[in-house]
Amino acid sequence: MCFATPVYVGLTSSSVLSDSNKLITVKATDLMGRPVDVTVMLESLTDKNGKAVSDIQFIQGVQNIADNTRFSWDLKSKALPKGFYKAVLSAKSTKNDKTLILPKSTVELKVIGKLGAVTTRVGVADSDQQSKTQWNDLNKGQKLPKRLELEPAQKLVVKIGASDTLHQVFVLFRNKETKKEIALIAQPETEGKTDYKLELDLTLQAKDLGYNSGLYEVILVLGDFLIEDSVEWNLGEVNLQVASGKSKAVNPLYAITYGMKPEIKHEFRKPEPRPPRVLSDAFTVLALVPLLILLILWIKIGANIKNFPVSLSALTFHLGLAEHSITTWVLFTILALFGVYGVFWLKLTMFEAFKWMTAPGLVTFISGHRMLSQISLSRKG
Amino acid sequence: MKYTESKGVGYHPGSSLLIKVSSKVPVFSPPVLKELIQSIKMAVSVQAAGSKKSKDSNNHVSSKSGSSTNGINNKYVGSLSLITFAVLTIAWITGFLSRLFSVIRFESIIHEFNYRATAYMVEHGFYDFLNWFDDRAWYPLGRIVGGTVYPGLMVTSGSIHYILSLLNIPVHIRDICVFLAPVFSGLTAIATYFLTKEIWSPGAGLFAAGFIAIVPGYISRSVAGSYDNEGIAIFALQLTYFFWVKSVKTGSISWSVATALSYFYMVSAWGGYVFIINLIPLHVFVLLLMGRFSHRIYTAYTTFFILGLILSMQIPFVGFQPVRTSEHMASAGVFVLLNAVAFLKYLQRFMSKQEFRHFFFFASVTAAALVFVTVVGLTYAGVIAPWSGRFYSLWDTGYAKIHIPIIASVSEHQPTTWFSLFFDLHILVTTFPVGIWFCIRKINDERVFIVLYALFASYFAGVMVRLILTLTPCVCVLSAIAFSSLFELYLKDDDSPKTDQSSRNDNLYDEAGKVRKMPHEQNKDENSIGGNLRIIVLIAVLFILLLFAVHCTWVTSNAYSSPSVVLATYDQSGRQILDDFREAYFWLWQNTDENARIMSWWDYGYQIAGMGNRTTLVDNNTWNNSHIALVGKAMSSTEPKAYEIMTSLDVDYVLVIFGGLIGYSGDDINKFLWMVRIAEGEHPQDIREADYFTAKGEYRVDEEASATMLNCLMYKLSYYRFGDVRIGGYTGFDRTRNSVIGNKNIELTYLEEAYTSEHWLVRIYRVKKPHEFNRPRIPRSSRQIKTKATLTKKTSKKRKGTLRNRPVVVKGTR
Amino acid sequence: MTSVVGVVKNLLGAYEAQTPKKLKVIDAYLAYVLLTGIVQFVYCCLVGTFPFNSFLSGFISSVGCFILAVCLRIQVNPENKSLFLEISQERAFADFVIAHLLLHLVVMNFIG
Repeated sequence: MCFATPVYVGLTSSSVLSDSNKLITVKATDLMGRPVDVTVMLESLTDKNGKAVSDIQFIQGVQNIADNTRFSWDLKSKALPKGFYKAVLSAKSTKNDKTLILPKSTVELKVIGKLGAVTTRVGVADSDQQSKTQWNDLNKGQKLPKRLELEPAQKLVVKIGASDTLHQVFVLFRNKETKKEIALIAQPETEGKTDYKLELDLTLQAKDLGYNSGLYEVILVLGDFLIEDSVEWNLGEVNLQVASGKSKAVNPLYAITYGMKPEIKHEFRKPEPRPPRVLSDAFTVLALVPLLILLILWIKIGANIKNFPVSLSALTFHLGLAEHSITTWVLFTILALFGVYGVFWLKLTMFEAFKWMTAPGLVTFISGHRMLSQISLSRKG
Repeated sequence: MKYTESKGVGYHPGSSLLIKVSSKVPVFSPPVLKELIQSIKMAVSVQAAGSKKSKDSNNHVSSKSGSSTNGINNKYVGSLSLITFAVLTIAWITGFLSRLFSVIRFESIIHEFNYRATAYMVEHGFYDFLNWFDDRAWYPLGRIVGGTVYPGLMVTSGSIHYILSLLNIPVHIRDICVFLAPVFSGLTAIATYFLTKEIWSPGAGLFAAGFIAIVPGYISRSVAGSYDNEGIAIFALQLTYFFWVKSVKTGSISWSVATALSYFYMVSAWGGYVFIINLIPLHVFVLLLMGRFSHRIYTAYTTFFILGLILSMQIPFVGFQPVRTSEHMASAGVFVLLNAVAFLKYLQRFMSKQEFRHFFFFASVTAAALVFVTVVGLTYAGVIAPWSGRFYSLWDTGYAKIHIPIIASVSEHQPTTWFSLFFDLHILVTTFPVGIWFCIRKINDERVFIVLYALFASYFAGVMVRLILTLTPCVCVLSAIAFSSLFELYLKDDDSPKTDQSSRNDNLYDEAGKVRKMPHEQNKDENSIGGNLRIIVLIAVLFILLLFAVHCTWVTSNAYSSPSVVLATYDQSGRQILDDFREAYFWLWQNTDENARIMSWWDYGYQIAGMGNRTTLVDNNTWNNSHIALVGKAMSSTEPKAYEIMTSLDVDYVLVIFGGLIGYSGDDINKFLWMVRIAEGEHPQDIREADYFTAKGEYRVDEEASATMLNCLMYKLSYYRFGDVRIGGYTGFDRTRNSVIGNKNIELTYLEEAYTSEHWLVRIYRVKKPHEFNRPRIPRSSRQIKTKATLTKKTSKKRKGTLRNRPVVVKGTR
Repeated sequence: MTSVVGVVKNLLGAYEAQTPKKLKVIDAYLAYVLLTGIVQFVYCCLVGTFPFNSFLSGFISSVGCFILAVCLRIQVNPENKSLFLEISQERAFADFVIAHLLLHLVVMNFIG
C-alpha cells in the first residue's frame, strides 16, 4: 500500500508580523490533517517588489515538541521594513519517503510597524491670499497653544508631514455644542509624497459645515494598513465663524437613520370618569322608588280588579285558582325567559342564549295561547 | 364547481313545467326557455280567466278577506289558492333560472369581498368575525371588518350553511353564496305578492310577483355569482313594507313587531335601510296631514319605531347613528309628533271645545318651544351630526362632483338616463303611473304609502343609476295594479250585478270618504265595452307582456350575466373568453411573495384580495378617501414622485388595467380623470386636473396630450412597450380611444414590467428596491459622509485577500 | 293662567269619572314607567351618558315599555272597539307580552 500522499504546508500563526511578534508558525500535514514525517524550510522571503531579504535563506523550521506537525521561525533578529512579503516554504521528507508529494507553498506576510515622526502645521489664512498665513507647528501629541479664531473670510489650513504614506488622513471637526462631527479628508500635497494638506474655506465650504458657526475641536485621524498605532490626535479648539446660509433639507428617502425607530404606542381611549359611588347608588334607589309607587297605586285601584284578566295583576290573581295551572306555567316560563336574559347579560353569547331560550319560549307560546283562549272563552260565555 | 353547457340542460325539467302552464293558453307555446318566462303572465291571465268563469272576479278578493260569505264562490277558493301557489312557485323557479345565465355560460365565479368575509365567518365563528381585523386590506391601515360591514348577508348564508350541515347535506359555502341571490329573488317575489295583495288585490299580487321575478332592474343585482348586499336587501325591503302595510291595516302590535324584526334584517343587510326609516315616518306624517290619524297608525308606528330603533343599534356598523345623525331624526320627530297628537286626542275627550282650544294653544306653544330649543341645543353641542355628504348628493346632483369625487366616480352613481330606465324596467316604466292613478283614485292608508314610495323612489332613481333598484319593486307593484285593473275590466262579463259590493270592500279603510263616482255609473261605462274591442285590447296587452318577457330575458342574458372578471367577445369563430383578470390574479398568487403589497385603483381591490390573495392598499370599501387619494396621486404623478409615495407605502407591485389592445373601455386610462380629481381633492398643490388636458381642454392620449399626461405614472404603465405593437398599420394604436399614443418610447427607471396578461388587459409592474435601479445621485448636501471626488483613487492593483487560520480538518471517529 | 288650572282640574275629575278600573291599572303602570324614564334622564343630564349603550338601553326600554303599554291601553279600551275589530283583549295582551320579550332581549344584548 503506497499511495502518494500530498503534503500541505500552511500558515497557522497570524500573517501579520510586528516588532513585538515576529514568529511564523506553519503546519505540515497530509490533506486529512494527519502528521507526516517532514521537516519544513523557509526558503526565501521577498518583498512586494520581488526583492529577497538577504539574510533569510533556507532556514530550517523549529519543530514544535508538543505538536510535531508545527514548525516555527522566530524572525526577531531580522530587520524587516514595513510592507508585504511572500515567504516560500518547502517540506522535505525526513525518511526520504518517495510517496510524499512535496510542493513548494507560498504564504503572504505583512510586516507592520510604528508610525514615524509626524508634524502638523495648523494655519489661518485669508481666503484671498492677501496676508501671510500664520502657522502653528505641532509635534505629535501636542495641542494648539490657544484657541484659533476664524472669520468667514478666512480659511483653516492643516498640513501634515509624515514619514510614511498614510491611507487615512482625516481632519475631524467636532462641534463642541452639538457634538456633530464633520470629517474632511486631507489630500496628498504632491503625488506620491508623504505630506498632506487640508484647506477649509469658511465661505466656500460653509455648506460642508452645515452653516453652523461655533466652537469646534479639531481632531486628526491618521491610519494605514501597515501602521500598528493609528492616531487620533486632538489638535485643539478653533472658533469658526462660518458664512451664513441655509442647509438644504435632507431628502428623507436617502437619509440614513441609525438606531431604533420610535416605538409605536397604541393610545387607548381613556375611560370617562365615573360618577361617585354615592350618586350612582342614590339613583339606583331613586329608579326603584317608582316601583313602590306603582304597587301603592295598584293596591289603591285594584280593590276589585278581579274581572279584568288583561293585566299583570290578573296573572297573579289567577295563580290562586286551582284550575289555572296553565297560568302558573305561563308565568313560570316567562320568568324563566327573563332569567335567561339575565344570564345572557352576564355571561352567555347570543347563540347560547338562543339555545337556552327555545324550551321556555315554546312552552310559553303554547301554554300562553291556551290560557288566553280559555280566558277569552270564559269571558264570552 | 363548474357549470358547463351540458349541465345547463339539466334545468329543462323546470322549463317543461312551464310548458304545461303555458299550454293552457293556446296562442303562445314557444319551447325556448327565455320565451317561456312570459308564461307567468299567461298564468296570471289564466287566473283572471278563471275568475271570469266565476262571473264576478272581485268577489274572490272579498271572499279571501273573509268578509263575504258568498256560497257560490267558496268552491273556487280551493282552485284559486292552487293557482296562486302554482304561479308563485313558477315565479320563483323562473326568477331563479333566468339568473343562472352567468353560471351556465361561464362558471360559478365569486370574487366579492363578502364571500371572503363569509368564508372567514364560517371558519372562525360569528364573534371572531365581528372582531376580525383584516390586515391584508388598506395597507398599512388595515380594516376592522366587523365594524365596517353589514353582516346580514354573511349571517344569512352562514346560517343556511349551518342548517344544511345539520341536516347532513354537505354543501360548500361558496355554492350557497353563488346561489343565494337567485333563491332570495324568489322570496322577494312572494313578499311582493303579499304586499300587493294587501294594497290592492291577490290578482295584482300575482302580476307583481311575476314582474319582480324577471324585471332586469332587479336581476342586475341578483344574478347567480353576484354575492352582494342588494340581493337579500330587496327581499328585506319588500318584507318590511308588507309587514308595515299589514300593521297599519290591523293596528296589531305583533305585525309591528314583525315590521321591526324585518327592518332589523334590512339594517343588517344594506345601508339602504335609511330609505325605510325615512319613508315610513313620511307615510305617517302625510297621513297626519291628511287628517287620517287613527290609533291603528299610532300603535303600528310607535311600536315599530321604538323596537326598530334599538334593534338597528345592534349592528356594529350602524352603532349609535340612529340617535346621532340627521338621517334618522325624521323618524324620531314623527314619533314625538304622533305621541303628542295621540295625547291631545286623548285629552280632547275630557274637555269641552272651549277648554280644549285654550289647552291646545298652551300645549302647542310649549311643545314647539321645547322642540326648537332641544334641536338647536343638540346641534350646537354637536350631539346630532349634520346630514352626511352622501345624503346631500341625493338632493343636489352636482354636489358629489364638486365635494366628493369618490362618490361621483362610480358609474352607478351617475344620474340616470331615460334609456337606462327603459332598459331596466321596459313597459313597466310606462304603466306604473297608471297604477299610481288608480291608487290615488281609490285612496286609503296603505295606498298613500305606495304612492309616496313611488314618488320618492322615482326621484332617487333619477339621481343615481344605482337607485333604480329601490324603484323597481314599487314599479312592479304599481304596474301590476294597472294591469290587474285592466284585466278585471276587460275580462268581466257584461252582466255584473255585484261590482258595487266589491268596490265597497275595496274601500273598507277609506275613512276620509272621498267623493267618487257612484258604482252604477261606473258599471254603465264598463258595460258599454264591445266584444271585439275586448279581444283587441286583450291581445294587445298580452302582446305587450310578451314583449316585456322577451326583453327581460334578452337584457338579462346580454347585459347582466357576465361576471365582471371574465370578458366575452363574439367573432366569426364563435365566442371567445378573455380571462385576463383571472390569469393575472393567478400569476400574482403563484409568483409574488405572500406578503407582497399590490397597488392598484380601488376597483380591483376586492378582486386582488379575493382571487390573488395579496395585500392591497385600497379596495371597493371606500371608507378612507385620503388613502385612495394618495394612490390616485401616485398614479398621476411623475415616476420619481410616484416612487417616493410608493416607497413610503411599501408598495411591491403596481397593477393597471389596460384595454387599448383589445378595445376594452373600462380600463384605467378611462378612469384616470377620476383618479386625478380625487387626488386633487386631497393634494391640490401637487395635482391639478387642468394639467392633464390639452390646451383645448380635451382629454387625449395622443401626441397632442399635455406633457403632464404623457409623463404620469398611469400613462407610462399603461403604454409601456405599447409603441412596439403594430395594430392595423400603426404602431401603438390604442383601440379603445382610437388614437396613436403620444409617447411611444417609454422608459421606466423605478419600476420594471413583471407580468402582462395575454391580451394586455392586466399589466403588473414590480417596484424596484433602491439598490436595484441605477442609484440616483445623492446631492452632496444630503450625503452623510463627505467625500471628494478626487480622493477616491484606488491603486489599480486589486489586492488579494489572505486567508488566515486555515481550518484544521479533524477526522471523525467511527 | 287660572283657566289652565281650571282645565286641568276638570280634566282630572273627568278622568276619575270616565276611566274604567282596568285602564287605571295600566295608567298606574304608565306612570311608573314614565317616572323611571324621567329618573334615568335626570341621571344622564347630571352625570353624563358615558356608557352610552347602557344609558340608551335603559332609557329606550323605559320608552318602549311606555309605548307598548299605551298601545295595550288603546287596544283594550272599549271606546276603540270599532277600530280593532280583529284584535281581542287577549290577543292584545299576547302581543304585548311578545313585544316585551323581544324588547328586553335586545335591551339585554345592548346593555353591555
